[in-house]
This record gives sequence, structure tokens and C-alpha cells, in this order.
Amino acid sequence: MSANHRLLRCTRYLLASVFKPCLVFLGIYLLAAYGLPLLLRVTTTGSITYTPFGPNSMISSIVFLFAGAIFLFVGGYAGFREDYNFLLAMSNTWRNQYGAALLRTAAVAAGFTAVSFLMGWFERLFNQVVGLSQINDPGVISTYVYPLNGHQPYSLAGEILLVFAAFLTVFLFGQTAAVFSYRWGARFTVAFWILFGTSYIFLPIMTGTSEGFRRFAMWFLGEGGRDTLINVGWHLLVVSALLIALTGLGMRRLPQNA
Amino acid sequence: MMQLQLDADRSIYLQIAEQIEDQILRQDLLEDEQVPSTNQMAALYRINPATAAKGIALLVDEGILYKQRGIGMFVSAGAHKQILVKRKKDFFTRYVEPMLQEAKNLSIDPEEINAYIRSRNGAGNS
Amino acid sequence: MNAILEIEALSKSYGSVEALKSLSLKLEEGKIYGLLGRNGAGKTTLLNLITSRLYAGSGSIRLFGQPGVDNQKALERICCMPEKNLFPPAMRVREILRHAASFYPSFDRDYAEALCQRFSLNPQLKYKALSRGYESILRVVIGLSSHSDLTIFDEPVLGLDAAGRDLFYRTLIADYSEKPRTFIISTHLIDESADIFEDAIILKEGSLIAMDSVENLRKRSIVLSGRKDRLEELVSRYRLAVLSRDDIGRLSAMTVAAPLPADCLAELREKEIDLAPVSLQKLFIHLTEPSVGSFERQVS
Repeated sequence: MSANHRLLRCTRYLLASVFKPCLVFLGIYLLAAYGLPLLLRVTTTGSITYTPFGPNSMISSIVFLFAGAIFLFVGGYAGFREDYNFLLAMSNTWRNQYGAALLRTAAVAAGFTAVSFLMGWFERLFNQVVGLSQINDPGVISTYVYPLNGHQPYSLAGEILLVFAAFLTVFLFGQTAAVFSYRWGARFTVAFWILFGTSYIFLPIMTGTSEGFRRFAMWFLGEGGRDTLINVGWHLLVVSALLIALTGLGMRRLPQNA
Repeated sequence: MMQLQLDADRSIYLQIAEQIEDQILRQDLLEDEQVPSTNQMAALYRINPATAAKGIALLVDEGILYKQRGIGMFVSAGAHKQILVKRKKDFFTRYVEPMLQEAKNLSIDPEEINAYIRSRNGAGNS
Repeated sequence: MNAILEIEALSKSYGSVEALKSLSLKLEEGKIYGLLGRNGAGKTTLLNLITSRLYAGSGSIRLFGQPGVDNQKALERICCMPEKNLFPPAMRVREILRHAASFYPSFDRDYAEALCQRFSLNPQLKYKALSRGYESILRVVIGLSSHSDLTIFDEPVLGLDAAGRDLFYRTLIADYSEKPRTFIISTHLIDESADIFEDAIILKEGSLIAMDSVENLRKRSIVLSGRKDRLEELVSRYRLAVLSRDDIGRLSAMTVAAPLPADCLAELREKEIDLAPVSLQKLFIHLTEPSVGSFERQVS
């Protein structure tokens, strides 16, 4: 078995390992996004209205983007230890595990992107498109999407890039955190989760207090440019590249820590 | 006698060799008959096959067994007599000397031993 | 005979603790090796280093004649079943075996199924549902079915009852008889497995203190027992190295280094001193005693 075959074997395993959780997630999502409202629509009258092709909607599903992102982040974090230990037991080197993890991440992100567009179509079909403006309603995740409000999708390519890059980044982020958690143990894990958990507090604060930081955040989120989605997409790809490098550093000669 | 339990006081491979010799002596294994293989011995006694092989190799070196390539190990012609001669030589050091020492510990006169042996032979068993 | 594993001056520290101290070792292919050592002697560390699950501070490792660290081609010829659990708790046994079959090039699935039956391991069970004994059995099944050039077991019979352990030894012997290959078995149960090994490797506090055939190791010491005064006189006159002694009343039993000089042997009978062998386990305990006298310098 050549080293290449080994890489593919590892990748196949990692894909298989994430397959069932993805199905479960999809099932729950479909139920929550369509099953419940459908039920409500059948049982009550005119309770929820959505706009098809609203002024701020993308072709793909925003809701799925957020739900999928959360799932991939959590899944990427939670699944690492088990997968790494098992592949280690099966006599695989860290290099093959690293390569396989990257391949799997790209494949899953691509798959989720495709599903995201499918979900968008479902939304239009069932008249349940949720636009960015609706997400922007006070009380929801306003802080992160505010700058995107008001921008039209420039092109399909831009949107595909954005969605793919978003899933890629988020999935990588979870795995990178898991890698360092595996390597450094509790002290990293605790510190990471504290920082991450409070980020929704201090990031907006930093945006408010530091002009430099605000400008960077606006630039990152595509403010001021014409092709917002493509820009943000590229920015996220750069972040992904950084995370790929970071993961590589974390997985380099990673000793077993069962 | 076929011992399934090996002694801890002597090398395992020597005991394996002895077991086969015992069988040849008592004609449980006849000349030109095939001897149990290394793997069979290893499985029976629950030991490393290399150890069993060493015991068998010892007998091959002594000429008690011969090898037929591709088939296995066989009892050499004249092995029975060969073992008999060897064991007779060992008999006195191995059995009689300790007996005499023990007799001395118990203050048994050598004459008592002689008398005993004579009476046993006289009973017609030998 | 080819060297399947060559280690040169391997050292590993965890902080201030030296787990392995400049260890050098050479293993030939096709033998069953026993790896012995007290808790904390460095056995598991050594095995992890060999399989690139851990990285050394210094030293070199060669597997199958090539550099061994992070060498996938070399590693896929090795199956190392560790003491710790590395399997996903929610995975069923038959799934684990299926994956093992895809990762170990020589894995024999039919044999694995037969072994499961022989050891009464239900392939339907999830890993988390297995008791400690059955966890060990699963590792044994994978290790034996892998038919890897080098198979390593770290405490393979942990949690197994006597019947299970006996079955393991017999199955190992039968398998090895049919397909000779290299095994390294790290275990605490020395007496019951000593006959299985061809050679034994003994570690003490991170260093290699003995490596020899089990047969030779057994011949390295004997127990002399008899009158204390006569023994002491004999020991001092022939300058025998005493590993340990037990005294009771006028009698004493002393474990001394073998072989004894011929003259000494000749005197034993008249002095009414008995000779008895020392099992590998007893020798092991003596050798790995925190403070051992002159004998240690004589060894290997």
C-alpha cells in the first residue's frame, strides 16, 4: 500500500466518521426549518410570512449557513480526538492524518455548500425565504451581519465562494482548536473556550473603542467595496489558509494522548 | 510417561528431547516412524516453537532422529539401543547417587538396601 | 538474521523525569520477544517511540533497515495494540475489524471472525459495552489477525480470566507456528508467559539491564539452601555474588549468580546444600530491585 493509498484510506475513514452525524444534523435541520413551520401553517392561519426573493436574500439558505456553521464548528472540535486516536492505532503517521483531515474538510465544506444552495431552493419553494434583513432583526445575531445588510449578491460565483469559504473556515477553526486542545490539554481548552465564549462581548466592544480594529473589521466584512460577497469570501479563504498552517503546526509530530 | 507439565529446574528444550527419548525407549515411537513436529510439540506444551525445535535439533545432532526434507523428523534405526546405552550411563549418577545420599541422611545401612533389592528380585519382578 | 528494529542511544524525558536513558537495542526478525519491566520502567514509552506515537529527545530508530520515525511505509508493517483504549466508544466490534482490515495490508478477516468466535467476542457489541477483558480480547484479535511483520502487544491479557489467558498463549503459538513473524509482548505476568518467549528484554528505570534468551536468563542464578553457616562460608570462599537471601533459624536460602565453579558444585552434596532453579519471574524481581549489588554489573 503506497503512501498515497494510505492518505486516501485515512480520508475515507474521516468522511465515514462524519457521515452519520451530518445526516442526523440534516434531518434535524429539515424538521426544524420545514417540518415545524409546515405543521404550524397547517394548524394555524397566516401566522408566519416570508418573502420570496426578498431584497436582501441570497440564493442559498442563510439559515442553513448559520446552522451548518455551528454544526461544523462543534463537530470539527468534538470529533478530532476519537478520529486521531483511532487512525493512530491503525498505524498512520501524523502527515497522513493531516492531509486526510484537510481533504475531508474541503470535501465536507463543498458538500455543505451544495446543500446550502439546495436549501435555498427549498426555501423559495415553501415560501420561507429568510432574508438578511430578517436575520438582522434586533435580538438576533445583528452584530456580525450588520455590515452585510443592504448588499446585493453580486454573482453566483461570489456567493458560492462565500458559502464555501465560510464552511471551510468554521470547520477548520473547530479542528484547529481541537488539535491544540489535544496537544496542550486542559490549560489550552479552558483558555480557548473562555475567549471564544466571551468573544461576542469583547469583539463588539473592540469595534466600538478601537478605530483601527473597527476599520479592519469593516474591511474584512467587505464594507466599502463593490463585490462584497467575493471580497468576504476571499478574506475567509485567507483565514482558512492561516488555519490550515496552524493545524499543520499543531499536528506536527503530535504525540498520542489517549 | 508423557508429561504435560514441564519442570522449572531444567532447560525446556532438554525436557522436550527427553520426552521424545522416553517415547522411543518405551517403544511408543518406533524406528522410522515420524516424530511429532516442532509445531505440535510447541502447541502441546504451550512453549515457543523455537525451543521445541532446539530439543529436536539436539536429537538430530545425536543421531537419534533424522530429517526427511519436506516431510518431517523420523526415528533413526538403532535409536532405541542408542538411548538405552546413554540412559544406562546416566542411571547411576542420576538415580543411585541421590538415593545413597538420602539413605545416608536417614542412617540406612547400605546392606539394608542390598537386602531390599535382593528380595525384590527374588519375587520374580525385574 | 535481519535486524527488524535497531535503536541507538534513545532518550526520552517528561519534564524532569527520564523515562528512557540512552537506550540501545537490536531485535532480530522472526522471534517472540518478552518486554519486561516494573511499572514506570519505560516499556510503554519505548513502544510508543518505536511506533512514532511519541517522539524521542535524542537517539535513532531504524525499522526494517530504514529510518523509523514517521515512516509510513515502515509503520504500516507494524501493528501495535496498546494498553490504553484508542477505539471510538460508539463503534461496533465488526466495524472496528472492518476498518482494521482496510488499514493493515495483511489483515485476515476470516481469521479475525474465527478468533472472535473462539474467544466468545460478540461482533455486534459497541466498544463501550465491552468489559475490560473483552477490550483486551479485541486487541488480541486485531493484533493476531493483522499478520503484520512486527506485532506489538502491550499488556495483552489485562482483565482476562485464566482460561482466556491460556487461550491467548495457545492461539499465539499456533499462529506463530504457521506464520513466523516478530512479536514483542510487554507483560507483567512473567511466570505464565515465560515459556512463550524466545528472548526477554528487561528494562529498569529507563535502561536496558538484560537481553538474552529466556533459557540463558534462567541459568543466570540458582538458589542454594541449607545451613546458614555452611552457606556463608561457601559464598565467601568462592566469592559468589548473592542476589538475595532469606534466613530462618539455622537455615538460609540464598540466590546466587550462576554458573557455580565446578569445585563448589562438588562440595554441595557433602555440605547438604540443595540446589534449586530460579524462575524468570524471580530473576526479574531480583534484577529490577531498586538497589542490586555486584550482580548488576555482571549482567549483559
